[in-house]
Amino acid sequence: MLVLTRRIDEGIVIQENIIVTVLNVEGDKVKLGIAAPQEVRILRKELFEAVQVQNLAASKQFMAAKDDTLQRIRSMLSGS
Amino acid sequence: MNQEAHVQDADTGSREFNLQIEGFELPGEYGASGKAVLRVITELVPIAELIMEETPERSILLTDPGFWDSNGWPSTDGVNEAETAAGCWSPLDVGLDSATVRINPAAVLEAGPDGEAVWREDSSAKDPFEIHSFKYLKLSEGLLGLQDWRQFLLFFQSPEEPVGVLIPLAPYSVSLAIVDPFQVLPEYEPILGEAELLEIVGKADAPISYLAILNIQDDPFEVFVNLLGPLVYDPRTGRGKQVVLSNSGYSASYRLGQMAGME
Repeated sequence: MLVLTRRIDEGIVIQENIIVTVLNVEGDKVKLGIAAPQEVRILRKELFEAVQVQNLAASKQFMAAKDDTLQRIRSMLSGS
Repeated sequence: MNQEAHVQDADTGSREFNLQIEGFELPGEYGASGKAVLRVITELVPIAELIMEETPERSILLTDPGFWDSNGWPSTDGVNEAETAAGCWSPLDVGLDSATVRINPAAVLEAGPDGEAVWREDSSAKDPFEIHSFKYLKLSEGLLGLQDWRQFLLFFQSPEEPVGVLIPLAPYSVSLAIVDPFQVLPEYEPILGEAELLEIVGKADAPISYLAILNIQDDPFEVFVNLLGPLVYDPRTGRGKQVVLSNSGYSASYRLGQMAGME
């Protein structure tokens, strides 16, 4: 992992078109400003990981699902 | 059955059969003869990929024409044992700019139990028709963590079926269960950025559809619904992406048991 030290209002450039700037530091919180093209997906790491973990788990679990489990899920969703 | 002709993938459940096709002249790209592999993609529904040994880059998606009724819904209970390649297979046409999937029942690959096969034209078959059970989805960035999964067939057993199955194509892999998130949480209110909307549907007021992935557990009340990372797509084209609803407060592991009236 590359480790850089930056002060407030200093930044880093990634791939020439993504600029991350340190806007503020308060205690253990750092406020970052990110300028990037619209098509670049920027996410909080914990949200990205939460979705990723569920995708991977879902792909494994469906293969192991039993027919009666799926039937009960259908019933719950259908309200019957 | 010729056991030599058959290999099952332990991870995905897909099965491969070696065929020797004696071709007949058919219109279009069908009807080639030679050695081929028929890969039955899933046991849930009869879909298969036909890969000719001489032209492996041009595969054809196939389905069992007898599986579908005239309205394009399964005419059976939906289970295809796919123990053998034997039977009839007709080409599926997935639109480049459309979510619709059509079958061409007039072109039939007839396979025998020992791998011998022949293309024939069924002159009594009707014109190509839409398989309403299927929608073709193309996620521009794949699934998060599974970026290679970009093309899918979305399968519903019937118009009333609340749980659908997302079947990855190219590369083939295990399927996923999905649900309409508004059926789980009627007050669900996903808010997308303008850039994401434009990327998916081209303009802000175009129709848009949502799917949430289910993480199945033995206890249905403990099934997780991913409301944080829905699949968002244009129902006309099937193009979309998995978005992450930052700042929404929705969970990637919303319990099905939390649905109104369940607890």
